[in-house]
Amino acid sequence: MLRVQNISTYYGQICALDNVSLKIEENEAVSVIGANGAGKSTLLKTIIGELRPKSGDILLNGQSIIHEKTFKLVSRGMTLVPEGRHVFPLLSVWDNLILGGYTLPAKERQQRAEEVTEPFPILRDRKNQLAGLLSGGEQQMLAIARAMMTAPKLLLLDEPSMGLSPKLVLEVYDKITELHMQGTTILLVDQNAEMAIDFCSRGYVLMAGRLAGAGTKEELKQSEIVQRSYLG
Amino acid sequence: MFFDQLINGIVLGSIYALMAIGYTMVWNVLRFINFAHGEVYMGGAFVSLYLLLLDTPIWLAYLGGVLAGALLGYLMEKAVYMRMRNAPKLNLLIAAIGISIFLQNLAQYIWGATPERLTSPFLYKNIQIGDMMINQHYIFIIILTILVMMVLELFMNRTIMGKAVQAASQNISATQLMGINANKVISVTFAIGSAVGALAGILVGPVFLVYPTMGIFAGLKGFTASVMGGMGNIPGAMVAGLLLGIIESFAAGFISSGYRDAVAMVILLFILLVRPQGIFGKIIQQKV
Repeated sequence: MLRVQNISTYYGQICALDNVSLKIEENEAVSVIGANGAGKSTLLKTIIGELRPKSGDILLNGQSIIHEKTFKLVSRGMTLVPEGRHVFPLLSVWDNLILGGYTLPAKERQQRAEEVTEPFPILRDRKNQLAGLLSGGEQQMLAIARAMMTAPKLLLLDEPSMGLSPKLVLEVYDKITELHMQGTTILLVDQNAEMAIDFCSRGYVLMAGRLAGAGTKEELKQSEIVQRSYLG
Repeated sequence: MFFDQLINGIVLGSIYALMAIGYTMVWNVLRFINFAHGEVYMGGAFVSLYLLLLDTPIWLAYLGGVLAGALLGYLMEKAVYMRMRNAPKLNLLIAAIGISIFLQNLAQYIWGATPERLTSPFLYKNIQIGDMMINQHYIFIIILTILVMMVLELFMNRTIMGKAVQAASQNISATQLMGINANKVISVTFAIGSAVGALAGILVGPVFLVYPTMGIFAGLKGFTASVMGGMGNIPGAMVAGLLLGIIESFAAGFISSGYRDAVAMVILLFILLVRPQGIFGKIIQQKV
């Protein structure tokens, strides 16, 4: 479904991603783990078109998307739930959802918002509240539900557990698992390596902008580098 | 006397409010002050004037001026500001001042510097309310301003594009993740803000005349009102514009017309000292 081929991304002179390749097949859940500053978010931002790689290629369903604009990728079935949720704080919860369905025909938006909030009853209860007043966990739920408005085939998740209490982390991962079971392919990046590895069937390890390892859930759990660096 | 000044103030304030909307809308999406906005006000008035000289029916000439204003704002953004998206904001500010001077000179080259009066079907008619005579054109300005505000309110809160404009003002990069073309949202914002600014110029044309530098002072007042109302807050800009007009009018009527700007500016300073975010500006702390 998604092929990342030898991409290198720079911030000015600084190399943030160095020759990184990975692939995700349909209906897979794949994780990328790594320490702070390893290049995880840069990788997702490069895939979604917010950053342009200096070299390499990215293929979505066989077609290069390296020059595609972010907003057009949403119509092609891929979206990102960014680090820090980025809900629109001064718009209501419901308006946030409706905007998530911007590319849908006008008539379908309300209906779709009802559908995506089914697993998130708290969002329905607070539909008229300003999104900025939700708790961190609720904002994360809203960001995920909002991304689901267009029913993306591939969902990129950047640090969904960041800043959440352990109980809320479990809750958020429960919801993501539910979405995955319903057929959404997921590429997940998280500093919480344990959760990320447990959730996905396969994963990659990024270190200082380079791929330091890859494997199935079991292989990663037993990998010395992962054990030493992330699982303790 | 009191009611005369109040009506004058509301009329003046309506114009400031219409101008302030343009500043505040552009600030919302690009976080910069479009100092060429006063020239959209002038451009709209000149195009209407020109269309009237060609014997265009008056409503069509007004509409033409508004559309020309929208186009001018749109082109400004596409030709200059869009190319400077990643440049420091100071560069945009200087570019805006450059555009402003260029457009003033261009208008002078095309139409000359002599002030001209725009026609209004109402200018020489009055309405009597009690023992007060109110110019019909003043009523026309007030009614149109209220209409524009209502339409803007509906657009911003009831349409998906209006919500996208609001979203872009809160987090422009996240709007792209919704599949929204942020550049389109910015263009729409410029076009609407400029159309409203041009309308202000056209409405003023029959009273204060049309000339190439007419936008300088109106721009300054619109900018003042937008700061007073809380930069980025559209209802705030409307109310602050009205308030500024009324304060000026009373200062002119009851103190001296020479001090009207000074009184308005002292009140602005006071408001900014007490409420730095403006009268309606909100400081919302986002939870993380």
